[in-house]
Amino acid sequence: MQVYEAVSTALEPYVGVIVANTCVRATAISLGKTADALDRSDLPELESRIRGLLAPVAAPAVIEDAIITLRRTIETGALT
Amino acid sequence: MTPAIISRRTITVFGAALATLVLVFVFVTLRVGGDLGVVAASDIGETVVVALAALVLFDSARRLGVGTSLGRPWLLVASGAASFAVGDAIWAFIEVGMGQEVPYPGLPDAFYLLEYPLVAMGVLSAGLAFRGLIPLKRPAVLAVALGVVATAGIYVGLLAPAVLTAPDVSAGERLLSALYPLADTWLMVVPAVFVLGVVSMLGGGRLAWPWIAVGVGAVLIAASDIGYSWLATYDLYESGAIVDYGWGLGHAFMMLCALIARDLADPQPPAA
Repeated sequence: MQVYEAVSTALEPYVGVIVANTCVRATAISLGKTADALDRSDLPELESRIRGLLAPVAAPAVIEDAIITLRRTIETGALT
Repeated sequence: MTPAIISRRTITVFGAALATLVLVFVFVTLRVGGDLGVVAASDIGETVVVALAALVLFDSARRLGVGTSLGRPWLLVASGAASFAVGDAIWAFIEVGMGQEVPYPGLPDAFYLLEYPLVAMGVLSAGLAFRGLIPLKRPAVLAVALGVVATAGIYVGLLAPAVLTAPDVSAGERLLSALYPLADTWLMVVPAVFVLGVVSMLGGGRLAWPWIAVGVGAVLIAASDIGYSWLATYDLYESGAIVDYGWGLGHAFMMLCALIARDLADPQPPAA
């Protein structure tokens, strides 16, 4: 599993597949990368971006849940 | 919507509202207590359900933070429901307590009409909060287009043949009977379609769930208002009519969406 897949997996239950993938691509572009070029070093920026995008529409507990899911997926998901 | 997300509290409170409406239906259908019983069951039952919805909506707004983009829409929708509940209470007082026919237009209408802008602002602000995630132009155009088509339909199907031409109707009654369906269209249905268009792009994601219930509630309230306008124009409306259930049920669905929003924000022990 790649980093962009882990982020999509974490966001998908809340915003669906299409918006989750859009979030990942937008973050990658803001970092000057493509989505599949994202790696572990980009995680702080990805988390920050997720917090910013979800803050107007999701409760803090929901955002934390998505971040925890992301971290757990990355820790246990055998990233490539 | 999985049972693991929806709490027992949500099921219980929404179930209580539905049970109240079913009880009203039974009282009205069996004509328990005669004419006065029918009127009392219908008026008081609806007032109780709408007031419960307002209380739950206010509580959800408070828990989500009234000053935040999360809680503000619920505060506005709650204020609208509270205004409608006040209108219902006045209606019930006049009809049941005083035993008089409620004037139309009358004092309850002021509170009923106040709900429209409050709900519209609440629902629109909820939809606009998604602008960082979703492009809003398409749902906005779709909602406005639907509003234009619905307005034309209401004019052709209701206003022209009935409301604007009915004999022996006062100017105030004519104006109000035209205002209700138009306010329903532009301040209830159009914002609801807009927010439904927005959250449909979430592809079933949990953040969409509350606003699907709002859409159902808005359509039910609008349908009742349009039906009431038609019945009132021909002097056919009586308390206990089928349109009465749409108001209670519509507010119950708005309450449901606030409960779901709370469940998402504040997970409770899952339902069995």
